[in-house]
Amino acid sequence: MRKLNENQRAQFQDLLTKGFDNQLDADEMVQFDNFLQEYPECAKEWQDMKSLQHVTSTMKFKQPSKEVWDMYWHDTYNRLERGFAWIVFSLGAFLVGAFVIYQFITQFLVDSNVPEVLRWGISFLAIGGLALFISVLREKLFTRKRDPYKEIER
Amino acid sequence: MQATIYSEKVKTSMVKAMASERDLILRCQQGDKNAFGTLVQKYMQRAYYSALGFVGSHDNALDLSQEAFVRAYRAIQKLDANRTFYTWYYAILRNLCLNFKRDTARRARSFSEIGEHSLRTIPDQVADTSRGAELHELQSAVWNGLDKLNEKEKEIIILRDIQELSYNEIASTLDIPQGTVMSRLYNARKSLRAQLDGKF
Repeated sequence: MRKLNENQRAQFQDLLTKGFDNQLDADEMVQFDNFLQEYPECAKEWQDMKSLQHVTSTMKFKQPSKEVWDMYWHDTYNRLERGFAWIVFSLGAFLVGAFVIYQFITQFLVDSNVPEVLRWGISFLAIGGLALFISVLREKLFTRKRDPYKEIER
Repeated sequence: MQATIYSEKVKTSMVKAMASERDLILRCQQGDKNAFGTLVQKYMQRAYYSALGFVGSHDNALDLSQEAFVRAYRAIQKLDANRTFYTWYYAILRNLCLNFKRDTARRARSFSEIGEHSLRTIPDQVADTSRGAELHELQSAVWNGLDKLNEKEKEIIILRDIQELSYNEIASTLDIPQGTVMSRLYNARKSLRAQLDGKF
């Protein structure tokens, strides 16, 4: 039984790939046929691949409805705009937050007219509230990202 | 002679297309959202089907392909205007899809859950019901086999066999030479065939 050498194998692989994709030109078709007739291993490989080709040729993605394409840019544009809005909003929230904290420290915490108990109490309240907010926010974000059942309708 | 004229025509139209894409990218870099809209409309179908190949569900593919466009727009200043937009965009989309898959990997998804809803059947090949059922079983086996391949192998089979991109389009999308496309396709199909051993 004749065996392919390394160069022939490389050549056959290219021809087989093109054959699978119906891309062989007339010369290549002749070369490919020669391989199939002269080398049983080539004929066997082609038979195997043909059965795979038969199935993959029937597997094409479904087309979404026309509305999906009509709305595609519109939806992407909205996302772009919303992303920009979020950046501006976050920047504003950060500046206001920083100002409130600064005012809270310089005007309230160091004011000796405010009873010490009230200063401690409000500090704990603020720190606790902030910690709770961050914890809930983190949990929500984490769940949204990792929840394996999020696509299941409840 | 005629072939030379034809290839010159093809070359000229490719140069024109590249020039107009370059112009669009430059306009995007100056903040022109309409220019970006033209790029989105040009590539949205390819982007959606690529994402569908990775994640297998319509909603997620739509969401991820749009998110990738948003990220591309935010980073458009980094894109060299002489490069093809889609090659650059595809790298963003690919990363996004692979991250998404990694995050949802705990729930393995079968053909009946994904493939059946994403794939259409070619009518003339399923003329009778018994053949239809048999084909459905084979498609299921191929889909599950695809899922067992590594990402590069799965990706190239989906681009070629399911999305039906040409070798040239695949080479440009993945930014690899055409010879590599062919050898990668050969190896990927061989691996898939090995996964399916005994099923055909």
